Amino acid sequence: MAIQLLNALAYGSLLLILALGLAMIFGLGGVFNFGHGALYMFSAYTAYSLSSAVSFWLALVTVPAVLALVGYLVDRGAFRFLRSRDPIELAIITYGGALVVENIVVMVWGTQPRALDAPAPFNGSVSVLGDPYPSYRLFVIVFSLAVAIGIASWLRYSKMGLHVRAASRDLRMTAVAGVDTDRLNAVVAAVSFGLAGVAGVLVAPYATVSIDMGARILVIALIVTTVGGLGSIGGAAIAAIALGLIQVTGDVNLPGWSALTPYVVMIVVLIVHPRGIAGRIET
Amino acid sequence: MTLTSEDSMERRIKADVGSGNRRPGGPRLRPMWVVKVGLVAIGFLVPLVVTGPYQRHLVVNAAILGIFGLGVAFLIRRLGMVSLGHALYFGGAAYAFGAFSTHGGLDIVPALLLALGGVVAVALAVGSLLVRSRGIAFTMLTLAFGQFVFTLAGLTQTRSVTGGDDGLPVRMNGTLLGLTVRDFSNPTTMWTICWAVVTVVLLALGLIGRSRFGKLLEAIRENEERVRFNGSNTYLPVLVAYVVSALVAGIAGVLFALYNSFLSLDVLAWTTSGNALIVSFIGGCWTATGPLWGALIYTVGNAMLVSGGRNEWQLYVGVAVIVVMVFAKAGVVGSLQAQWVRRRERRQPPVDLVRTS
Repeated sequence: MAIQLLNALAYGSLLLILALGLAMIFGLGGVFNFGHGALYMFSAYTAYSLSSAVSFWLALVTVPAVLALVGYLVDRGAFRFLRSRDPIELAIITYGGALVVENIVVMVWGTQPRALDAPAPFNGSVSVLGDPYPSYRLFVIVFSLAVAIGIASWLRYSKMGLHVRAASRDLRMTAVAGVDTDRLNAVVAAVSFGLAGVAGVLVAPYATVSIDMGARILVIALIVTTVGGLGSIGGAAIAAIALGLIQVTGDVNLPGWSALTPYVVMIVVLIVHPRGIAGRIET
Repeated sequence: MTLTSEDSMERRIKADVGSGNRRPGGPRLRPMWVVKVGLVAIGFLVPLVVTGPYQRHLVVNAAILGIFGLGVAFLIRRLGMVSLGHALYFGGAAYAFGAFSTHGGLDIVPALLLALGGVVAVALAVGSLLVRSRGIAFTMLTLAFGQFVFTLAGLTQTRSVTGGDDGLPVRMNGTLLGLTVRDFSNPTTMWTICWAVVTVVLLALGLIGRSRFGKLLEAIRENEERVRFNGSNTYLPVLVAYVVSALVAGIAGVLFALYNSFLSLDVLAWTTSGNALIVSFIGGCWTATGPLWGALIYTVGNAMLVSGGRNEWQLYVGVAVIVVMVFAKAGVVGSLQAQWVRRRERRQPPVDLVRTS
């Protein structure tokens, strides 16, 4: 049971990191970034190559940093000029971007799935209540929860975080109050891209690295974001861990069918609380 | 909100000016109909021009993808709702047809009718949950529903029905209009069928768009609250529109199954929904025939650019989507149409209805 709980936590905390990145861009401009999954996959492949060539720890530092920089530049160079467009048009533009990134990965790494061993201090296993458990998964849990808490406290306690929260409520009003919302958007894009990078690097030694991993997890992360309620980090955290728990216990008790649980959860939430979801998303 | 209504007001005035130009007396509308009937007739003759079997195969594929795109674009054009889950109806209809004929041993006609009936039933059920949401929320929910069915079809438990990753070879029994499996896999025969379906779908969607119901949909798109304020129900019309669009996607799916007589899980994947969306946007989902042209560009482009094992197709598509959305969001057909209207207006300036009133 403890093992299952830990597996759920590991999977859930990865989902949380991804969902946070999605929710932040979404909260600010109402834009759903279809490229998020592709960035995650790209980071996983980069982590694979960097780990084989130099070190996993270098990848964990540089990949998110570089992606954050890319996010900042993409927002300043492209999205800034498209902000007046309908969010759905921007979403389709990001869909095009996802196709481009996916194809670049195929051109560089090919379509073959890759596997990466856990990095040095965490390549063994530890005993959890008498059962051996891979220590890398514990590291994933601790690291991603630390990142999530870091982002949450940045939003809660820093001045910039205050501005982000205000802008998520009402972008125009925040701009009127004297906040440089263009810069704010760029910073949020940077953080969001960086989070996709963190999740991608973390997942590389945890699961198989493949081309379709991004598209697959994007839909699950989307469900986490929707079920948890956008803009609410606590809600996303609970939804991510709960979904991880349902999925992992389902894998044991109802093999196969459990792959459907995220969708069932979403549909049930949709039936029980339709206005809640739609209302939160649209504002 | 104010921005969009001002935009639409301007658009409406422009539309009035445009139709005022064309309207005097009615007879001037008729040449347009002659042209349209002529185009439909010429369409049946396409195999005379497109002679190679591979080229014919391409135009059949383009027609099927185009019909699918027409279904997806209908929701965008009339309601501004972008679905990313219509593979559910395209692939669902294809698989239902395949399962009814292969496992159920049904003849083509009952299998086809059951598959399309199933699409309508599922669209009603799914739609009744979905159509309360709008905007990006609707898109995300359609994506989730589509992935639900895609995942379901790939499970080991449903393998006996769907064939899982191995795919489903469709065994067809009996005939449809005297045609058998052999005829359906022949691109020349299939083109005639597809073109007939294209004509019917275009006509049906056009009539729906012009009807009072179509106007109601557009009113909902522009200002749902006001429509409700006027005393109209806005839930049911949107649901009906959703079912219509799903049915068109389902018809395309059945055509796909008839033509290929083999199905793989790809037809249910969200990338299939994405392709329909891409061809609609590239061709122009605000025009009647845009998705068809988009599908033709997509299919022919794919055949020309993907050769010799090089796999850069996605890159081109991605760039094309970005370029079209950023610089010509009306799509290829839409932009050309706008250009044409602008040129004609320059030649004979319309009566300035706006300023004199």
